[in-house]
Amino acid sequence: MNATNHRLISAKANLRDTQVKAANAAGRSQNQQVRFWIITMLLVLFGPSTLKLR
Amino acid sequence: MLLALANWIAADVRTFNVFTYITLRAVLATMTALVISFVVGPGMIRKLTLYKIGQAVRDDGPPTHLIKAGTPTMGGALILVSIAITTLLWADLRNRFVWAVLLVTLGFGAIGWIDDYRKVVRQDPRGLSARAKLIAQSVIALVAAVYLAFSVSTPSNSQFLQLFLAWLFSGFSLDLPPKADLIVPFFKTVSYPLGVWGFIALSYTVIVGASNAVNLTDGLDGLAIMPTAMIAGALGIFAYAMGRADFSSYLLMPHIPGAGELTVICAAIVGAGLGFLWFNAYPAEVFMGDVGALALGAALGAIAIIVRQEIVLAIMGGVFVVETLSVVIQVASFKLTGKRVFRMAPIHHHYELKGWKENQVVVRFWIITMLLVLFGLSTLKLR
Repeated sequence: MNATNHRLISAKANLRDTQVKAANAAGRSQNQQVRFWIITMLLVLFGPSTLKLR
Repeated sequence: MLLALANWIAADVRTFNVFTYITLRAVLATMTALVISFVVGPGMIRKLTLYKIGQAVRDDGPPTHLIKAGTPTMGGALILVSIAITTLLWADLRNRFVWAVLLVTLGFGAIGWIDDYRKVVRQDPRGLSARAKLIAQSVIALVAAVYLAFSVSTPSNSQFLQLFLAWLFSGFSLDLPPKADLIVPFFKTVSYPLGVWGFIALSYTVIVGASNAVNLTDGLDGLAIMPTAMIAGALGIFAYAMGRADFSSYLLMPHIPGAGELTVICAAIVGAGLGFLWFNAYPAEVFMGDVGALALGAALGAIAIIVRQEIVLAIMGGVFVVETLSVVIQVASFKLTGKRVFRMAPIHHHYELKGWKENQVVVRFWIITMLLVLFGLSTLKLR
């Protein structure tokens, strides 16, 4: 009975670890997306500035 | 500061005259603020983490927010440092509106700082009491409102003093010139004459209201900063147009001499905002805290008052307005009927509890703000 409980607990812990890792990985990719947007936004600002800066 | 230096060098090297152009200094201000954020940001986040200046997460909030506990807060200090340094570097420091906006921003930042410091560092969950916070906000907002009422109506500080004294000696009955009227968007000939007291009351409401609205919105990663940056960019365009006699005359808007210089501050807010978003994007490495939210809201309010676009600010800041209204409605409904209108207030939590992912709420609110900002900008011409 104890051994079964122990296996169940460790399986749950593994599942939670996997979920946390997946969430972290998803978070990292979302973070990268926003950072790429910021870079694009700057480049877009830089583009029209060439209208005047010449 | 650099403008004064450029003017001095321009006496010998004419190329440096290029720095007198507001547009160039605005572009450079955006880049400077961004670079300052990138350079100072990682070190500041490390320090905030080291001193355990971590955000406490509300117990009754969405369960997905529990992982945010301990994320460093008070990152708004990074935004303020970036805006202040950039403005001091690139703006014309002889301009009275630049100082008015900078002082209002830093004043509200100081209130937020004290509140955050008490909550997070001294571990006092009450922070600054709501009453003390409102009194401090009111003092700064009222001083700014009185100053702006007369300075918007006059082209220089000496005439500001004359008008102010004339108002005092007239027994507070003197009216302000038409350029201080409340501009009603989409109507060419309609503007509402506020009078001195009306101007002060409206300005007070706009500054304190905008400040607290941004603070209420600051509940998800990147939710408050991106709309703030977008609105600041749009207000920069308004400031540039109002500051130029030819543009304002063409657009049938009042000409506010000196308002054009606010374009540089607006550009600094955009740069500092994007720089902060780099670290605040989901999953956030740092939160802005009250120090950033109160200051940025007050800055937007003060700029909108100077460029006479209070109603347009409410349109462009629709997300902030709705977030605030959701809290007011929820509290009023619960007190009057005992029932909640939203699953949770502010409204971004309502959508999270409806099943939207945090990032979905944030990006969708950005899209709405983008549309509202375009709509606000259209009022320049559509009248």
